[in-house]
Amino acid sequence: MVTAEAVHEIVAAITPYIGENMARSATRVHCEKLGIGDGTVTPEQVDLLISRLESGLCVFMGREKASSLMTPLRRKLGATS
Amino acid sequence: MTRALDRVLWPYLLAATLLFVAWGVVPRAALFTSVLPPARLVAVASVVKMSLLAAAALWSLRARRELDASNPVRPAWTLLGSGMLCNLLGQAVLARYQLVGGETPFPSPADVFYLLAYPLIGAALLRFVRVYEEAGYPVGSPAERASLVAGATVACALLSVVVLRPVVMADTPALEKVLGAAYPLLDMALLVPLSLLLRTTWRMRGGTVGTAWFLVLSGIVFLCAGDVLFAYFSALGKTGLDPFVHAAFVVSYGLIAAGVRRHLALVAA
Repeated sequence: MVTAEAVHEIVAAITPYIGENMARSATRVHCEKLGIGDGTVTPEQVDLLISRLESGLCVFMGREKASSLMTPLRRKLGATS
Repeated sequence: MTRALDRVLWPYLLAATLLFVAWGVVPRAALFTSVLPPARLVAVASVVKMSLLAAAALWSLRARRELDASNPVRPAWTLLGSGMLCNLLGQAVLARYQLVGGETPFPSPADVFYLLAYPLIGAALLRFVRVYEEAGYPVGSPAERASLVAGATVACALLSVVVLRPVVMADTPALEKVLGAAYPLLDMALLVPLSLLLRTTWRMRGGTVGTAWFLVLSGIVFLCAGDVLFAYFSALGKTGLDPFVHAAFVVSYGLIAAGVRRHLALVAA
């Protein structure tokens, strides 16, 4: 999958909660930490990226709600878990 | 639920604030000399403040309870809820005098609770910053944070000099003088962790979390403003300006309650 498309979907999903600015910053920081480049991204990397952002959302909305927000996104982006 | 509460909370807050501002601007208006004389207005202020503080404390502690046991942000909510509870207890002590039209004593046992609220709220703000950093949110480099803390400290120190001068120079008993100076100083100290949290949450503007924090932090700024105004006006003997102090505290507690309610709505199903 093209990285930009995945990032776009992920940012769109979390923007209503943490705002576009932070959604982009947090996603970029985690992409850098996970070694996700500008080209393409594997389903495993998408899964890891979503997991990292999900952990971040837990501090605001709790594990259950963060999971229910990210599970459909995982499916949509074809993440491994 | 949040929208339904907003429909009640915001008009309640607006009406209460306008009432006290109007009292300060036109104290000789018929409304304030017949229907709502000063003693009754002080009683109204007391009830409004207690209701908003109770809401802020209960919602903070509920936000904690709704989070899973291992969630690292729970202690921060405990601290914030406890801080608001201390303010509520302080206000409840004063209510004994204010609800029966008596003179509000200063100093009083209420000050014990009010003073205890500061370290609790300050520790809560620092804990939120730490948890957000650990959760992977960019909170700035150590150098950025150090310069932010230094800038906030210098600004607060300068403001303290202006505010504390009349307090220290006032011809009042020693304990009153110490407490009169302690509140503005503790407020300034609170603004330092507040600036750190604001730096992070400002980047969340436009989102639910950003709005919630904007409300809570604005409320804390009004809390500081209320304390500073109280100390300043008391030292200068300008009791006619008390309505503005009441208005500042009402806005403060209302904004904190509204912000905490938004946080709770995120957590609660």
